[in-house]
Amino acid sequence: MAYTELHARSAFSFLRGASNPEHLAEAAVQRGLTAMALCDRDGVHGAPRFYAKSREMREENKGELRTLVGSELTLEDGTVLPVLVMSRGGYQNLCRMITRAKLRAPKGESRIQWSELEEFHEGLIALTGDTEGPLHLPVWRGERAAADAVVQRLVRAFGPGHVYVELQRHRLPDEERKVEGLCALAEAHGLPILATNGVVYAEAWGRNVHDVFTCLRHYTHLDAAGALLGANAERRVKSPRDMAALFADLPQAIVNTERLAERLDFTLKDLGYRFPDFPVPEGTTMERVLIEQTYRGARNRYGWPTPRVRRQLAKELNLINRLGFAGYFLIVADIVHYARTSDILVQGRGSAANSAVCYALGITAFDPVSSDLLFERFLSEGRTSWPDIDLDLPSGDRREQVIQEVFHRYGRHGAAMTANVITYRGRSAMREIGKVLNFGEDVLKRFSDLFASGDFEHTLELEEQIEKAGIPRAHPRFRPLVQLYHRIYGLPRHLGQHSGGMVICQGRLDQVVPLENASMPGRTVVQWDKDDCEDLGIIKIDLLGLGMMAVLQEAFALSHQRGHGVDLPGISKEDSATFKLMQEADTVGTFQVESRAQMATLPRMRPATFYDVAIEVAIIRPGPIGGGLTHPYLRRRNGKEPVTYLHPDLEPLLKRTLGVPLFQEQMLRIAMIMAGFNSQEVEELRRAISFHRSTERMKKVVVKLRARMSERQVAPDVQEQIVSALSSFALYGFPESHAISFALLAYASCWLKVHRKPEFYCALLNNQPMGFYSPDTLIKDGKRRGVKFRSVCVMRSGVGCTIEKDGAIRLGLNYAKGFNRDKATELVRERGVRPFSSLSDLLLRVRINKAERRLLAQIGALNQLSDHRRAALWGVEALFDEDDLFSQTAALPASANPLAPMNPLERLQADYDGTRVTIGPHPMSFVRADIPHIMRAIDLPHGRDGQDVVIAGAVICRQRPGTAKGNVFISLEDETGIANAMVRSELFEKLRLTITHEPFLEIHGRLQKQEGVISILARDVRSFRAPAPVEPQSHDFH
Amino acid sequence: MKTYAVLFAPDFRLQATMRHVPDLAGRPLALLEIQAAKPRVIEVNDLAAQRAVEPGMTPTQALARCAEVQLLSRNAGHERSAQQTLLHTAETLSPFLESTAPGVVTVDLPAERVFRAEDVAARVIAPLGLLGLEIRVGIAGTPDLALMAARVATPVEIIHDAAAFLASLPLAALEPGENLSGVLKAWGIHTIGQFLALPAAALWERLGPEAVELSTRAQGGRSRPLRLVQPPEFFSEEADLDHPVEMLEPLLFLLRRFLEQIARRLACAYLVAGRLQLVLRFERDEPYQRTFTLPQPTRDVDLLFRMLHTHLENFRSESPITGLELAARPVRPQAQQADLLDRGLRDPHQFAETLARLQALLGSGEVGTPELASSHHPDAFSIRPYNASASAQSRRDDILLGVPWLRFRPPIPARVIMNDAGPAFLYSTRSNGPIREACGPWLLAGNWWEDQHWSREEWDIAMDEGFYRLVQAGEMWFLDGIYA
Repeated sequence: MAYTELHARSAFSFLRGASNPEHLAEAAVQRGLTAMALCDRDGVHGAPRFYAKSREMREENKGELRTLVGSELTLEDGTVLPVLVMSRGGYQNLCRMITRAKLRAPKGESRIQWSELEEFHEGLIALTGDTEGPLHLPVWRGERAAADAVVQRLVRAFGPGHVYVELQRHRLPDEERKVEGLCALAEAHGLPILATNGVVYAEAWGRNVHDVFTCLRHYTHLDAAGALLGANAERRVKSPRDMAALFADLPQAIVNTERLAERLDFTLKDLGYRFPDFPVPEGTTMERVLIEQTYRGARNRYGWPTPRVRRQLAKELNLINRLGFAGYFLIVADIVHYARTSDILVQGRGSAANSAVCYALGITAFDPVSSDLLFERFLSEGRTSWPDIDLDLPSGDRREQVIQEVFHRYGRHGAAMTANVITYRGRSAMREIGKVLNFGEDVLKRFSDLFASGDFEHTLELEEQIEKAGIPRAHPRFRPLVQLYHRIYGLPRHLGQHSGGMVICQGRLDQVVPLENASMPGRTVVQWDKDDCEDLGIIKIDLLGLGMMAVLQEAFALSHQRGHGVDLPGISKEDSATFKLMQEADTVGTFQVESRAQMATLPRMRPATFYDVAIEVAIIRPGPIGGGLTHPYLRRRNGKEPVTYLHPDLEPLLKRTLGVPLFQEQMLRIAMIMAGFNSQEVEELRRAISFHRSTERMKKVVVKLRARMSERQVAPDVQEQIVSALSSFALYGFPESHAISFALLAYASCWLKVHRKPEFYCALLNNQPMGFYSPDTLIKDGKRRGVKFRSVCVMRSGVGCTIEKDGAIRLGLNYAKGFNRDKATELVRERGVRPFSSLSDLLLRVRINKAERRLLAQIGALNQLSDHRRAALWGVEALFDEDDLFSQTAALPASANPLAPMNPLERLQADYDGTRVTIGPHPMSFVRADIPHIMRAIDLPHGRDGQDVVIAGAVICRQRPGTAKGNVFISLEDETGIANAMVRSELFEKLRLTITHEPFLEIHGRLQKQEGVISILARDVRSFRAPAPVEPQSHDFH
Repeated sequence: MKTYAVLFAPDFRLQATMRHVPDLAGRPLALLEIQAAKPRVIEVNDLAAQRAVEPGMTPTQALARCAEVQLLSRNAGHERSAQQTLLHTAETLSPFLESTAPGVVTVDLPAERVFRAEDVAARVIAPLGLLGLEIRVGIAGTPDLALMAARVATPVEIIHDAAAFLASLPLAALEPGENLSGVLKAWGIHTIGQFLALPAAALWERLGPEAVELSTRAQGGRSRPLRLVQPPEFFSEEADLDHPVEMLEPLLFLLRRFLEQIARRLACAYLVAGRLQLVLRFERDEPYQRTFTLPQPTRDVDLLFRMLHTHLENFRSESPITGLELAARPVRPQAQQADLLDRGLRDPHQFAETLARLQALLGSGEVGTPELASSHHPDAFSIRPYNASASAQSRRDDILLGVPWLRFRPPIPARVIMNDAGPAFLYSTRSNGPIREACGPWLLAGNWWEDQHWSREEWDIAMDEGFYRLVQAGEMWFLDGIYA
C-alpha cells in the first residue's frame, strides 16, 4: 500500500527536530517513500535543502522523492497547527502569514492569530496536529464539546475538504484512546482521517539527539528531564509497509495520505521569484540603457577605447543581454553610484573584476583587459545562475547607510538580508551536550578553555580532548558524549544574519520566503542562507563591510584636509618605498598582508610589482598551502627550482605564476586546455569549486575531468597533480580577480603607511576593532615608524583620534573606556563655544559623573587643567557631583594638592586601565634591566642561525592555522618590536594552558634565520611576570 | 585601661578546608569560590604562591601557571567548625569573646592580667596548631588596633605605641570599602601613614563620612563593646585505648560509661542530647564517623545506648579499634504539644530504631517513602527519607488513568510462544493457555545515556479468565498485572 509522510520536522525546526533535511530525504528514499512533506516549525527553513537533496538524488539516479512543502504554525493560544501547501498561491499565503507573525514578535518567536488563518487559508490544507495540536487536549480529556468547537473553527478557517484529522501511532500505551476519540470526531464532522508519523528524526538513533534538544529547550539535563523525553524511538521515517501495518485497522488513514499528496501540487521549483527590473524611460529597454552606460563609462575609464577593449565590451554586452542580466548590472551600478554620490568608498570584488563592463560601469577598479583576466570565470554561455558581484564598503555606519537605502528602494517586504545558519560545532556543541549529560561546570569550562576554537583541526582526537578536560574514558557517560558530539556536529543551532548578503525581489519578497526580524534594528532576514538562495535562483548582492575600506576613506579625507590629498585611483602602483615596506614585512596594520603567515612570506616573495602583491595575497591561503603549491612558487621565484610546466600546452597560461597554478581562473583554463571542457563544463567546474557544501558535485566533476584527460592521453601523474590542485581549490580557492581586488586595498594600505603615516594610523585607531593587532600594538608600531602620539586631553581631543598641526596623533575621547560618546560630543561642542578655563569650568559646563571624572583625571586627560594626573584626581573629588542633588553648584575653594605625581609604572597601569593603550614606554622596558638573559626583538637579526635564545614580551597574536599541522605561531611584543616564535604541536599540547592563557610569555628556543625571515623555534614556553598587572589584548586564532 | 586580643587565621577559608584533607599538605593548593558566576581562586597556600598562582585567577589561569596546583572548593561547614575551634581555644584567654568575622575572634582580656607573647603562644597558638589552624595574635588597646596588629604579627604582636605601629602599615589593613579603596589607590595612598598625612578637612570634603571613619580607624580606632558570644558546648568523651578492642562487648561497655557521664553533665545543665556523634579510630584504616540524629532529644541512657547498640551490631571493620570519641550536641528539651488531629507516632524512638534496623538489614537508600518518578518507565519510583512532618505527595497529574489494573509485585515470570501476529500461547503460574487476542506491542525505552538503560515491550492480552499485561524485557517475559 502506498503511503506519503505528510508531517515531518527537520533540525531546522531548531531543537524540535534531530535530522538534517538532506538526511530525512535520503531516509525517505531508502524506506521506499515517493513523497514527503517537510513541516518545519514556523517557517520553511529546511525546505530548500530538502528540495535540493531530492533533485540531487534524482540526477544521480538514487531515487525519486517529491518534496512537499508545509509548516507547523504556532497559534496565538500556543497550540501548533501543521499546514500543507497545495499551490503557489498557498505557498505565498503561508510565507506572508509567517512573515506577519514573525515581524510583529520578538526575534525567535511567532504567534499566528486564528483570524489570520482565515485571511491566508487559500491554497493551504490543515492537519489537526499531534500532541501539541489544538485537538490534543480536548480529545485526551474527553471534552467532546471543546473538540467539536476546534474542528468547526478549523473548517471555518480552511473550508470543507481542507481539514484532515491527523492520527499518529507511536506504539505507546494509552494512545489508542486518543486515536479512537479522533476517529469518532472525524466521523461526526465528516472529515477524512490521515495517518502521519510526526517524524522528527530520520533514524532510530535520532531519538537520543532529540532528547538532548528537548533538554536544551527546557533548560534541564537528562537526569532531571523525566517524562519530557521521548518514550521510544518511533518518530523516525517509516516505510509504507510499516505504516500500513500500524494502521491495518484504519486503511483509509493510509489511503488518504496518497490522495492528499496528489492534491499538493507545489514544489520549490515553482517559487515565482523574479529579480527586479531596472526602471528605464519609456521607449527604451534595459539592454539599451546598459549599452549606453557601459560605453559612456568606458570613455571615462579608457579615454578612447582600443579595438581590443571594444571587442571585449561588445562580447560581454552581447552575452549579458542574451542571458537577460542587463537589469542586474544596472541595479548594481546604481547602488555603486548611490554610494559614490553619498561619499562612500565602494569597490566591486569577486569575479566581477574579470568583467570589462563592470570596470566601465565603475563597479570594479581594475582593468581586466590589460591584465588578460578570464571573463568566463565571471559569466559564460553555459551559465544559468546569476553572476556574482560583491561590493566592498567601509564597515560601520556607511555600509549601513547603503543597506538601508536598498531597504528603502525595495520596501520592507521587497528586500532582506540572507540568513547565516549557525551550526553546532566545536566547544559550543560540547558545552551544550555536556550540560545535558549533567557534567559539572568546571569540566565544561576547562574543555572550553583548553580548546578555545573547535573549528580548526586539532592534533588531539576528540576522545583525548575530553580526557584532558577531566573526564576519564571509563566514565559511564564518556561514550554517549562522544557519540552525541558526532551526531549533533553540524546540525543547525540558530539562524543568524549574513554579514552583507541582501536579496531583492520584483514585487513581494515575503511571498517567496518568510522574513524575520534580525537582531539588528531596522533589518529583516530571509529564512534561507546564501547557498539556499543561490540554489533556488534568488539573486543576492553582497554589501560587505571592510574595516580597511573605512580606514582608506578616512585616511584619504584626512590627507585632503592636511593639504596633500590623494585617492585610491591616484595612488601610484609602482612606488618603490611601498614595495620596500612589504619586502621588509613591516606591514602591521595593513590589509591582508599583515598576518603572521603573510609576514613570513613577504621577505621570501619580495614583491616588486602590483601583480606580485596579488600573488602574495592569493598565495597565503589554505587552498594553495593545502595543495602544496606555495613553496614551489617561492622556490622558483628565488631561482632555487627550475620553472617547469605540467604540460607544454600550459606554458602560456602558467607563465606569469612560474608554472604553478595559483588562481581559480587558471584551474578553469587548465580544464579547458587539458580536458577540452566546453563553457558549460567549465561552468560546472566553477560551481563545484565555488559551492562549498557539495563534495558530491566536486567528485562528479573530477571523474569527468579524469575521463576527458585520459581520452586526450594526459599522463597519469600530470592528471594526479591537476586533480590534487583542484581539490584544494574546492575548499578555499581564490580567484585571480578577487586577489587583484584585495591587492588594490593591500597595496593602498601599505602606500598610506609609507607616505601618509599620521593619516593612516589615525584612521586605523578610529576604526577598531579590525585586523590582527590591537590598538596598543598599532600605536607601538607607529611610534617605531616615527609617528608621535599624544594622550587623551579634554582641551585637545576630538571624539575620535585627530591629527594635530605638527602631525602628531591625538587620541580621541573614544579611547577613554567608559566615557560615554554623547558626553564626548557634548564636551567637544562646549569647548568649541569657549575653551575651558579650569577644572570647575569644565565640570560646570559638561555634565560628567564622578566615575567619568576620575577616569579622565587618571588617564591624564585633565593634565592641562591641573599640574598632573594625581592633582587632577584630587581636584575632581572636590567638585560637585552631577548625580548628587545636594552637591554644590559652584567650585569649592581650591586646597593645595597634597598628592605626589604618578611614577612611570603607575602611569602605565592607569593608561591600560583607562584606555587599554599606552603611548608611554612598553611594559617590558620597566623590567629590561633585570632580564639580561632575554634578547630584545630588535637584536634578533644580529643573532646567529641556530643560536639558543630566550625572548619575552606581551602576547599580541596566537595563531594555529588549520594548515600548520597543529603548530602554533606566537608573536611577542617588547619595547623594541615584535618577535615571532613557532611552537610545535607536541609542545603546544603539553603547555596548552600556559600558551593560551598567559598575557606575557617567555620563550626559550632556537633562532631560525631563513631568507630574511626570523623566528624562534620554541623548546620551552613559560609565563612571564609582567611589571604591572596589565593584560594586553591578543588576537587569537587557535 | 582595657586590652584586647585578636586571634587571626590568615587564609582562613583555605585553612578550614585543609584541615579536612591533611594528605594534601606539601602540595600547591588554591581555594575556589565556586558559588560566583565565574569560579575564581580566593586563597592560595605558600607553595601555590611561589608558583605564581594568585587570588583572582580563574581555575584555568591557575592551572596554566602551575599544572600541579590542587583546586579545592570552599566549604561553609568546614569554615563554621574551624570558627568554633577558634572560639573554644580563645576561651582559654577570657570568657568575653566576639566572633568578629570568619577567621577573626576578638577577646576582651581581663584587666588584672598582663599577657606576654609566650603565654599567648602556649595557650592558643600551639593548641590551634595541633588542630590544624595556624593563627596570629595581636594585643592592643582597641579591637581594631588589635586586629591590625594580628594581621602583621609573627605570630604575636603586642602594641604599646599605636601611632608608630600604624604609620608603616599598608592601608589595606584598615579594610576600606571598595570604592574608597579604589580612590585612595588612584591617589597613590598605600600606607596608613600616607593616609593620615592628608589634610583632614579636605579629605572630608572629598570623600565624606566614610573617610572620617577610616581616619578614626587609622588612628587606632575607638574602643567598642564586643558582641559577645558563647561557644556552643559539645559534651564529649573520648579515649585512646591501651589495648585495641576487637569485640563488640568491650566497646559497648565503654560507650555505656561514656553515655552515663554525658547524661549526667547534660542533666546538670538542664539540657538533652539532640544528636550523637561517634568516632572510632583504628590501627590502620581511616577513622569511622557516624552521626545519630535523635527523633526526639533525650538524655535517657538506655534509649541512647540501644541506638548505638543497634547500629554497631552490624558494624564490621578490618582492623582493631584504638580510640573512640562520643560527643553529644546539647539542645534545650522540647516542650511541644502534639497536634490535635495528628495521630503522630506513639513512640518516635521506637520508630526510629525500627527504621535503623531495617536500614541495617536492607542497606541505605532502601528505606523511606516511595514516590513516583517522572519517567516513561511504568513502575519508576524513588525513595525519599522518611520525614514524619512532610505531607504525602499526590501522584503525577495524569488526566485520565485508563482502565484500572492490578500490578503483580514482583512480576510473574512467564513463557510465551509467538506467532506472526504476536504472543500466541502463555505459560505461567497465574495463567496458562492460548492467548485469545493481543494488542501491542507498546514500546518503551529510556536512560539510554547510562549503564542502567532499559527497554521493554508491553502487550495487552486476553486470556480465558481475564485481561493481562504481558511484558518482555530483554529475553525474559513477565506477567506484569491484570486488568480489573
